[in-house]
Amino acid sequence: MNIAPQNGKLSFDECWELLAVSVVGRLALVVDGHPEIFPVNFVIERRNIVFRTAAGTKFWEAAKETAAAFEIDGYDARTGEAWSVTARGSTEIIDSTEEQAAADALGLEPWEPGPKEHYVRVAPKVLTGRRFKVAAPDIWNTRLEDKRRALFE
Amino acid sequence: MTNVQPTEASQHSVEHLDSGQCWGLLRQVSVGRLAVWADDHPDIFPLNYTVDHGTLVFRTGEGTKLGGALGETPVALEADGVDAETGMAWSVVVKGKAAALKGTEEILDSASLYLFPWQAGQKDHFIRITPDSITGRRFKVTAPLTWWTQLSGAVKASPE
Repeated sequence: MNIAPQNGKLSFDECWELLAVSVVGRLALVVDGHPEIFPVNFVIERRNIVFRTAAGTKFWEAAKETAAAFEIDGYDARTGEAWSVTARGSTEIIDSTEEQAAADALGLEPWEPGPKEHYVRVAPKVLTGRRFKVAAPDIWNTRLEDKRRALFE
Repeated sequence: MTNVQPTEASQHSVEHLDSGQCWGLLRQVSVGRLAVWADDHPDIFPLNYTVDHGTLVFRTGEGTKLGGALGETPVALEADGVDAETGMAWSVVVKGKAAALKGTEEILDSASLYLFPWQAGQKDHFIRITPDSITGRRFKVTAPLTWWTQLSGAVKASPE
């Protein structure tokens, strides 16, 4: 449609569908009173966001559970709309090798090279999404030479 | 030094960027994600920013993003990108305090920075992030084939 509702909310199902087809998200958490944010690639395993990380090994070893926010976004070139989905919950280390294998079987591949020792799960307690008209779509097209951006058609 | 950035753990072909490189990359894109502390939990928002003399400026309306950004807790803004042809990805994180721009002069200065809101609608506040730290890294995306085919399926050719 031509006129998108501003701050158009996405349904719960739409949020999960977008999570299911996305590969990279950004995780935010607070460490020692400072927000940290980093990109991770992830899979959805039984409605959990699962990723592997070596980032901050000490952190993940010490803090088994901490409040986190996870966000994915993208741009739909066909409609000229951007979307954003945010999940909030707590991080949890996955110790079980069965569950680690289940995540691997879903194609969980760390984005960065290097050892990824920790499997982390975030079970969303709050899941919200919105779709909105982008004021200047060019910023999405030019921001990266990233084919992913064109794939949500 | 941060706790979460991979420093020693992922030494293999992860290039740590100096601040000059980081700023260069920050200028290449204009969408970032802002992590803030909102009441009792971290939250995260995509936003459109611009680089202004060693600081980042973004526009926002009232709401969580503003409230969280201006609280006691510093904020973190991350921008990243992937070059589809080389498979090189980068990620830059800026951390610091955020403060609203005050005074017409300061706002006019920043308005000349080609700063536009990412999302249509009222955007009445200009927020400036003054970095305490800026860190960045660049790395080859592991298994680009897997990476790309997850979304592109059989239709798209491999980038290699």
